[in-house]
Amino acid sequence: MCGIVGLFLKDPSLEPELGRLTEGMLATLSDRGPDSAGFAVYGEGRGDKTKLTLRASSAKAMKEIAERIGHAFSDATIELHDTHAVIAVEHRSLPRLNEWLACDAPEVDIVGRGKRMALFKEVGLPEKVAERFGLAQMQGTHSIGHTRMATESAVTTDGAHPYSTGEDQCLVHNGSLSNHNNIRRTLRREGFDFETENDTEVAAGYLSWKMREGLSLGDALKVSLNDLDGFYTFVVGTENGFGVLRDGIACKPAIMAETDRYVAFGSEYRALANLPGIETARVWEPEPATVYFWER
Amino acid sequence: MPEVDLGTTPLRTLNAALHNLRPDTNERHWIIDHPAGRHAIAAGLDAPIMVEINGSVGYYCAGMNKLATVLIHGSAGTGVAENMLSGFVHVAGDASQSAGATGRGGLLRIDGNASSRCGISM
Repeated sequence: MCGIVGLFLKDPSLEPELGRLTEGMLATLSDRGPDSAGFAVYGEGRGDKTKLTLRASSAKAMKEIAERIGHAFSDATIELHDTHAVIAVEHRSLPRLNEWLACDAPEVDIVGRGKRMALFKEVGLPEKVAERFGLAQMQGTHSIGHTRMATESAVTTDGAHPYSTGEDQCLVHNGSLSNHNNIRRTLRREGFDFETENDTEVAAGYLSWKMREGLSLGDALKVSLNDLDGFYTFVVGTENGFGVLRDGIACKPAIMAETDRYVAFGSEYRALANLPGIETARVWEPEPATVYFWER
Repeated sequence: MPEVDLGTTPLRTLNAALHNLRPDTNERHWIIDHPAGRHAIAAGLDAPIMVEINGSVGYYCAGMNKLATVLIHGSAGTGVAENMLSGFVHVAGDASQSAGATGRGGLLRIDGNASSRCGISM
């Protein structure tokens, strides 16, 4: 089943509320996906620094690794969130940090990287996962999230969304792709690495590939209609953009709401029911095979 | 006129109360507030009553309806008035997929847009 949500703010005065609103949306969709949850938050950039979101096997292991990073990199700023840590370093330190992680902490996963995006995912009830990471306190301009009901692969953190395959790019997916093995082979030839056998990671990689070739997120979503086969509803985030796409017969549920202050997406209206001003929002079901795309 | 706030009353309590009404009940006009997209609101009714819902509802609202009139002052999710036998269901907003599917009787009116599979297998 699974549930997906997204919130893209137009009104900066809502930015301190982004985490709290996203948490409410995710918690509502717990019963569409009680096995694991994940979310990406686009917060403030840190000048010329890049943020890496790291994931370790436990909060204790993460804390210990973060301390070692702190000693090795004087320019690093470190935020600990349970099993995850968001490490920001200057761009010039990034190759050295990647090398350090590969050699000194190979057990750590890099789940996201970018100027603004931080990405968290963990096994457990979505509202508990959100609480562990402190989602309600996070601020930013947009967010996407996922609640997973595992149907085709095990309940693991690797199976949790969102998937990120490029800087500040991530995707959540409800559905199933049927040609992901073929596309994964194409993308591997193009130099993309995949961490899992998951179809969603392939969709994320496909969009990253098209954007690397110069397409906007909106155009990348448009061409994906020709190449991705299966049933899906995607919600995608980039540094400044937010996109939604459903397959040609709209198999998976989706509802959107727009006001002067935000654009919101939910698998069900219930997820949107507590947003400010929802009573007067324009609420609609996104059309099949139609790209919806906002940029700030 | 019973007025039920789904922000404070559990949905099962409301539906159980509606299911327990006798055909000659005097409680013939129900108002439901804060539906917040919950599923299966006023599903399985079997009495000549009117239920007015102030807001948008989730899946299968007024499903399997018999005799009752259900007015939704908002939009409806998947399967509104699915498998209706008799009565009248009125959606003032839009309806999602499979509105009125497998209907056997009654009347469904949607003022806004209806999505795919509307009225399928009637």
